[in-house]
Amino acid sequence: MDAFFASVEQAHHPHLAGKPVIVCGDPSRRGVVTAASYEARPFGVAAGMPLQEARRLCPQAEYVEGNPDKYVAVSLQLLDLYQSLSPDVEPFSVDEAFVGLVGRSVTPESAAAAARSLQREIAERFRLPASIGVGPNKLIAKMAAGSRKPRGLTVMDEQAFRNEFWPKEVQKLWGVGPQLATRMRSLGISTVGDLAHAPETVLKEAFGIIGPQLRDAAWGRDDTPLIPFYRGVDAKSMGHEVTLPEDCCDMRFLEGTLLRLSDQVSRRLRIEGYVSRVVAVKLRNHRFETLIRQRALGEFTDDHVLIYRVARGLLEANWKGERVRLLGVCASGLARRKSGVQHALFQRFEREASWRQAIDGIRDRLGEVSLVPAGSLTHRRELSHVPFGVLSSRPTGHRPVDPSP
Amino acid sequence: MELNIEQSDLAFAVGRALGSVSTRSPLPLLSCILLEAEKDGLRVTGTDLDVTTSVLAPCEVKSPGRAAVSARHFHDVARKIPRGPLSVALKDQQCEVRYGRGKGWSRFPTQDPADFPRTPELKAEASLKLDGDALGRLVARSAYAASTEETRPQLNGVLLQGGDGKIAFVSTDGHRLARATHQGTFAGLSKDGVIIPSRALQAVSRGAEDATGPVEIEIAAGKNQAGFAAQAGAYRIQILTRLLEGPYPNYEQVIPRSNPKQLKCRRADLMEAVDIVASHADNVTRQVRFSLRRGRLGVASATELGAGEHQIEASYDADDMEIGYNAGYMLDILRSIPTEEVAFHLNTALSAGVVEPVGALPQPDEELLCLIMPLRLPDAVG
Repeated sequence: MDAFFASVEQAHHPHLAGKPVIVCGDPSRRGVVTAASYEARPFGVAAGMPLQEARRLCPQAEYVEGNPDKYVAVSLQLLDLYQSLSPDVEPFSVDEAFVGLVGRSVTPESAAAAARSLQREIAERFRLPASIGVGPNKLIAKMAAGSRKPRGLTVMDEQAFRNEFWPKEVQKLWGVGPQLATRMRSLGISTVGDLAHAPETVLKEAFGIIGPQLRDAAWGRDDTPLIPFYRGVDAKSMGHEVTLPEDCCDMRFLEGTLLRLSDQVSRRLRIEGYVSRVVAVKLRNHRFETLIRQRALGEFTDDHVLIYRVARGLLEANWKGERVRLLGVCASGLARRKSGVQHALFQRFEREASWRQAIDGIRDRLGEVSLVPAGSLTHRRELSHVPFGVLSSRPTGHRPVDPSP
Repeated sequence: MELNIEQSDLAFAVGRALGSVSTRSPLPLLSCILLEAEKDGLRVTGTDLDVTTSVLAPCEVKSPGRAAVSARHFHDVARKIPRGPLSVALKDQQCEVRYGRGKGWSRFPTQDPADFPRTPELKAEASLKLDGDALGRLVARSAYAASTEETRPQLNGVLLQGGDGKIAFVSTDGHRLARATHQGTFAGLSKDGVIIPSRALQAVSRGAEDATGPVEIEIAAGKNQAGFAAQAGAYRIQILTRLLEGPYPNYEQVIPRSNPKQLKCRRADLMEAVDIVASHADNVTRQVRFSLRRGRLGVASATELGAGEHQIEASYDADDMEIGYNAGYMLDILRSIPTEEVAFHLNTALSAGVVEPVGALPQPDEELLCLIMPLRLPDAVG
């Protein structure tokens, strides 16, 4: 999807159509740009940019507070639409998915025709712009989709892929990030073509097992399977972080924020059926220095009290009292929660587990903010703030969003 | 500060004090140990503010004084330098160690000892003595069951309880419980008892191993402190700890008194069975299934990792029963029991089971009782 969040806002609020739209957190507070519409991009506004800078570059833009619930709901409806094309749909992010077309009769031409009708349907039903890439594997399809935006439709085979990307910077290759690109440049590899022709032994030595894989990628070869979402992929970690309304060194405020984040993380663990064994805290100070510290637990958990206590312990041990800009809590070392329930010796502890279930039940029905830990109410705004992603795989209960204006 | 000391004495004292130094502390001074040359010898102290270990080692003090040096750094050198006499002196804010009659020297930067946390003075309301071996056994038989998580801080330690002519060490994490007792009169230690943090007891149990005399336990419940002191040869070891705040759950209420079904088996057989089968158990619940039949016990596990079953002989003559357990909990319990046979007293597949030694313990004035809660099996009813 092109500028997904911004496009959804434009589709739902016709007065925003054709205007630069910037989706962010609370526009009255500081934060970062979550999404910028194509009208805002010529001004140099990009996702991830501090809001202050965006305001300087594009003061006339419409600043809209993001509504994650809405984007997730639209995203789920889009997935339903893709499934009318093929059962093999792999959601890749909230606004990207792979659709596998298989069968003897599929040709690049027929695939392109299917893509064109899909693009038209997205535009008509959802009023959203989408760019689609068609290729023999996930790598080429993904990079083809990114090569012409917005509203692009690009069909590539391996040869076309090489013609298109070999002259481009190596960082344009899917899987090569800024750090890897820097290391590659130090080896004299600056374009995708350079990578395709780099000796395999050199790549193996410099990058280990992924070296030769990246070289294959530079040739447009990719054999990673498409994993349909009905088969599911286990999550590796779940985290939430927040840029504080202002740099803060009040321990009580930080504790409250940690409690809220821990609650969000544990709630998501429970909704998605995971337990975690490692808790990490992310701490960024006013100088933008970032520190991540983690601790392994003796047992798996999805309890916000334990996650919070560990997170607070990590904060206490590592925070030197400087002003904090951003706080995050992340649970990793995840495992699927199993059916075996360990009973507790003391009735009181069993009851605590029942309370948690009851609270989850209320939040499932009435929303995340219907019931929150009192200690997490550090700021009056927080009551109306829905944690992003918490609804991502809720089995039922999301209200369909009417895409018509 | 200037003194002469044997390398082995210095290394012992520093090594034990290091045990209480926190690995990662925001205060640089807390990664230090304090060296104090006093008229009785060299006192080496390490603390993380919760647990303090202090060792007094014999030495020849030329001039008294104090210095705080990096614990790990100093220990690393002290344990490596050759055996024999050495000198420790404070010169120009540096702590200098000379050894081997001029063979070598090491210097360490120091921190201001005045800022080192003061070891609080313990005003004991109760004091008792316990043989070092007995203390070590009591800790080994109980401390494993304490919780390691912060959810319920009062469970992160071992309850020391008096009354009824014995001392009891009790710990639980809410899923299993262990109570080890030792007979004797321990006046001053109440039935409510005090909760000693597990971390402190680790240090205590190490000290108890070294002890050549009885371990003196002093409790200042009002001040929320407890102290353990013992003579270990020429060394005097003292461990001071903050107590955990209670109340400790009323565990006696949950000990089943009349579980009708009894199973007895050889401890080594059962440990072998659980250990083998647990390799297939999933790493979240660690669930293994016990199948109780007349005259035998089957232990089994089946997950996507694989499956296995192991049968052992057992004396059991009640109705057939299926019950799930966490293999890790079960092995901890079996390891802590010193007798050849163990007995299970069970009721239902969802209620607490009692595990006990069969026959007297090697020390007849001691007793041991363990509780374990089952895991609900996927096919269980109720």
